Amino acid sequence: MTQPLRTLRLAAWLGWQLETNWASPWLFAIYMVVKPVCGSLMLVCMFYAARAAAGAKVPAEFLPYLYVSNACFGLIGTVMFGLSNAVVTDRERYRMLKYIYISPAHFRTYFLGRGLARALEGTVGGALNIAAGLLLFADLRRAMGGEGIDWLWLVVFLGVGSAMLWAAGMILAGACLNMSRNGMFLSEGIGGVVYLLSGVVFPIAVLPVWIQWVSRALPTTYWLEGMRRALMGPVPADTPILRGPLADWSNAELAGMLALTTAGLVVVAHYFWRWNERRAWRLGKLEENAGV
Amino acid sequence: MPVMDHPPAIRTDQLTRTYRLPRKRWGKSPPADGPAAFTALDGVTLEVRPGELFGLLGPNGAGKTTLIKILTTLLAPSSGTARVDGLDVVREADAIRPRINMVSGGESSGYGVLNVRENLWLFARIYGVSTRTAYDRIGAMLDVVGLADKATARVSHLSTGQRQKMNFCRGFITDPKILFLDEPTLGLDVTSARAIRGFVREWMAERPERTLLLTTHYMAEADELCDRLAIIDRGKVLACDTPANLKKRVQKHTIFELSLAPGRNGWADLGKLPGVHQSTANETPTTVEVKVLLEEEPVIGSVVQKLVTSGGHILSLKKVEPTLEDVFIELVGHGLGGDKPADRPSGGGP
Repeated sequence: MTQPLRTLRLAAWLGWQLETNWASPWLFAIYMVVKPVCGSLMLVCMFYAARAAAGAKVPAEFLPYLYVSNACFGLIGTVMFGLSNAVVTDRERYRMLKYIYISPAHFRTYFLGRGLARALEGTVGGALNIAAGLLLFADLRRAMGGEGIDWLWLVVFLGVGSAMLWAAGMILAGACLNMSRNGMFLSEGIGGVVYLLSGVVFPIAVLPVWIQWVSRALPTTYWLEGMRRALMGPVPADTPILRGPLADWSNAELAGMLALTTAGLVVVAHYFWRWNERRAWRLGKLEENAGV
Repeated sequence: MPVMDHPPAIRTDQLTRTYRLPRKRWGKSPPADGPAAFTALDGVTLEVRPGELFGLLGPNGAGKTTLIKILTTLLAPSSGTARVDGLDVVREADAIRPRINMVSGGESSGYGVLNVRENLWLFARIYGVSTRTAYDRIGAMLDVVGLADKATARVSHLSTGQRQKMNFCRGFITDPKILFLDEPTLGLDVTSARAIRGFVREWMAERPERTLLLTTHYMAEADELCDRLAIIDRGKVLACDTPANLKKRVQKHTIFELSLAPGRNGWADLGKLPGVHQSTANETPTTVEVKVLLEEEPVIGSVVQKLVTSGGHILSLKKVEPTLEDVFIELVGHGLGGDKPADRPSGGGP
């Protein structure tokens, strides 16, 4: 087995052990369901509060929109946050980052492996979240049952999205190499900005025009639109409030733009990671511990 | 025994490492007259031969760990060159890494949710060791350090010392060509430290092609284990030779140790007496331990007379053969424990 493949397999194994072994299997299973579902239920409560206050101005189609978006965004958050977390915990909690760095392990592939474990966790969490939504809300059942899941496009968007998630995670993880444990705040902050700009709980059409252009530069915007389309079909024409600037794009156009912006992100991630890794090596940050 | 007809296992040439000190931060300003940088290594030139067990001896902050970090490719040098197994640590780091391993003592690292065997297996596999070989080596190493009964215990459930033993095993199970041990017995109990020293000797004897670079605070450990030693202080190598040759450097002086009752300080000026080369003292609550290096043995009479006339109460007096600690004090000016110099022939504070 070549070293990168071996590194990938071992890092994925390690990541899964670290993510799952902190609790008994039953407790972990409950956590996997409760955490994402509670996050979505908060949005559902806000939806019903808004609907009670504004009536028909908030159409029923808004619920599936935000529920599915939020479930999918969970994957982005899990991987982006997870890779930064892997850097910080390996360095400051387990104090093993330096031993990984000086080993023959391919350093970047090591974090790809750690990200795989997080991606699996995020995917399972997202699927359970949607399953819970289907059980609880008729509006979601109607939306997803209308045209059924478009499996082909789901695979396409998940496939390209994987590269996007990894690249976004590596950018944040690279930054964390040169920051103390408080670098996690950066990940949380960036995650919040991406959540706001990617049209998770509202279409980007409600944002000021110049911010919409920022949103349209983010691959996450196309990915979430694509995932919603693959799971629920196109936005109905009679709900203009949900029709953003991407509503009239075909799935192929969305996938093409996702691939293009992802390619850009991958290039940025490559150079940004390399620069950060060299900087951390020059400044002695690879084993610097902010705690003790 | 070192292999003489091969290129050096480790070679550094004018190796220097400078750390920039923090600049202005919120609510804090650095001292206006403070230095902008700190030099941890200052032009270190060393050569370690293949098969050699080489020691680095120096006080805290001397630069030992910085040197190891550079040699293990964990840290960039500021200037100078370093080669490990003939490969440059800056340009050929990827080729160096499969050939080396490192153990840092005194730290409690390890993936807490994995058990001991899993932690060690993971690293063995990263280095390409097959699972079967890894398990064989893990079993043997755990026996050496007395952790066999903890093989399936979670690392988070181990004591600091047990984690340190596990890390010691991690260094050896990959069977590196060049191994770096940074204070491997720091904080371990006497029995474990002895077992580890015994294993290191055995490992080197069985694998004459392996090279080991050891840093330690324990003079006896360095004396017992090392083929050659470098004494390092404030980033500079002060001496490099075999322990026997280093000790010969201070053999020219006769050494006496005196134990004095506390409360009198007649020992403070001993270094100024004619024939006294150097004098150091270490105060404890119950005694003052004074060590004097004399040009000639009869000078001890003047030393005793000086102490008695100063009101000192000599509890014991003995002549000692030179140790590495004497070499260290001769070169550095104080002991590893920061023994207070009674006076010093040439400048510098303790």
